[in-house]
Amino acid sequence: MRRILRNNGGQIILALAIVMSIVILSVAFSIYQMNAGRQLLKYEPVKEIVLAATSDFDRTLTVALRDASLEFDETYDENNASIKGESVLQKWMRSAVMAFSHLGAKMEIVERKFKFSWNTPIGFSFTYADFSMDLEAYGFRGWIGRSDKVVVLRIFNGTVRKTGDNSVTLIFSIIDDGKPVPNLIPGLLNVYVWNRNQSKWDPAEIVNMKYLGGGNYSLAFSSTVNEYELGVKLRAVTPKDGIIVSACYIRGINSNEVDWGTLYLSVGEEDPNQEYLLPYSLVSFKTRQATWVISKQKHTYREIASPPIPENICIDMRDTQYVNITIYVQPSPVPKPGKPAIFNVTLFFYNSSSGRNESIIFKPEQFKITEKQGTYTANVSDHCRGIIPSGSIVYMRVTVISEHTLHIILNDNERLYSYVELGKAYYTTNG
Amino acid sequence: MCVKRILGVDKGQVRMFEAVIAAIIIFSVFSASIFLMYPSRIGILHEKEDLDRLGYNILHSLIETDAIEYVLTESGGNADSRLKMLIEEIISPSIYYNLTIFKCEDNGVVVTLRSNFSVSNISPDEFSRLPEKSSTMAIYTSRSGENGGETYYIILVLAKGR
Repeated sequence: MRRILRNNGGQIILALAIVMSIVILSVAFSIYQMNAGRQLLKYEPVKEIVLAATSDFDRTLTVALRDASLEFDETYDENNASIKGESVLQKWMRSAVMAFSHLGAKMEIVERKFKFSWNTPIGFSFTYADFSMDLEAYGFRGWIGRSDKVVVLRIFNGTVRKTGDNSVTLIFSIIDDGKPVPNLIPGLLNVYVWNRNQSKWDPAEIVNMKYLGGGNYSLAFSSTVNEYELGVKLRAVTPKDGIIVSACYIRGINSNEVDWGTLYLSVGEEDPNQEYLLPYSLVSFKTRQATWVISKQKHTYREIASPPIPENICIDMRDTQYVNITIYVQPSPVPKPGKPAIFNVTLFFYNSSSGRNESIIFKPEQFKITEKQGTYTANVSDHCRGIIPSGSIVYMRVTVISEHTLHIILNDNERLYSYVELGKAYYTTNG
Repeated sequence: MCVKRILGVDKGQVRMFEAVIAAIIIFSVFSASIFLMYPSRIGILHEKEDLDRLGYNILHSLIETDAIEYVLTESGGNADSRLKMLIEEIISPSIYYNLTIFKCEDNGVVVTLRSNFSVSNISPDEFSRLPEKSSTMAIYTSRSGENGGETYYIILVLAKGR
């Protein structure tokens, strides 16, 4: 043992070798652990997949807005248009879930909206949608993507001018998702001029169209209408995506005159003894007070009808989310406490060309009158959506249930008392 | 007995013996370190990662430049050659690829895939023999033409030549 201790020169070499080996092994093991850790943090293409899905969702939303705008252009029914657009989104969703099923993809459309505003000088077609996405294979959860798409068509109010006997000029702009559309051609633009006599939009011929830059165009079209009573409607289809958008400019035409969306119980100018459902412009204010009398002894029910509606009317759209019936009524005898005057009101339309009878707009709604006289209103929103086609006649049927005689006040020479709001009237250009 | 013999030898021999043992220790430690520092699959892992990234870049490029849209709406017969040209402009000649476009057919409940289109720069047999492949995918909704609104599933498989 003493000899070994004395022989310390070689032992130092051994000791150094052992120390070196410990250091080297420690370093090597650390590197090994780093490598192992790096493999755990290996590249996973989550970002690429999510961004690719979001990018494709943008394209799908464009297609959805195109299909929805096409449907809205045909039916003027935002509800139908939304259904059409949503079906495109749902189809994409199923395809995307299937395509990424090996990654445990879960996707859902959280929120969506389709909106069309085509009856103002700044018209737009708009949609947005949110979708959620989880990729279980990568432990990636909770992604919410939002996409939107809007096309705006604007008629610049101050630029509408009548330049010659048969020509009108104006400047309009079309913007697609904030970017000017520079390649609109006359074939993708329709111009309509309001025909006041027939209460409809007539197509007008484009004489000249020039691109001014920034999405602005100057337009000249033929028109014989009065400069001060001019209604112009533009309908454009975007060249790239085929999205339809429309804008409307009306000057000097009282909107009540063209609005078949609100019909008043009144008498007409030509026959003061006949009651009608009439738009404001056709109401006669020459009479003193017109009253519509319904007596259970004489009638099971009575009906009041409109003239044939000249254009499609869409009900339950945008501002008015319900059909509203307001009736000013005086029952006779005056109802006693606990014995109200009761009657039902039904609203329907009849269209001979479609061969359908009595398409119900407003199901029988019971009115109970407990006072000497008053205005009674009913709003119904759940079953009154859709289109009243052009040529239809709108009827209101009143059925008296109790033993009273009803005096429904129509109008006098100052005001209108009873009316039906079907919603806003939107005139389609293609019947 | 043996230890006594070792201890009994001259100093020089003991030092030689110790030096040999030290050398063996150092050599073993270096060998072990090299083994730990260079895992056998690291090269392949890097290769697959690079191919994955390249694959997604190619798909992104084809989609965003409307090349896929053009191919899907192209009625003539040169759609595949155009697509091949576009891909081969991006990748190096040593990389082999196979791009297949499936149409998603939706019956309202279930979506099925129908092969619509395929391009490659290698025969299927040779491609299957390549050791390491990267598979990347994307979905694409066409905007225009008669296929407007149709959704397609695109798979791009890449492999490095040996």
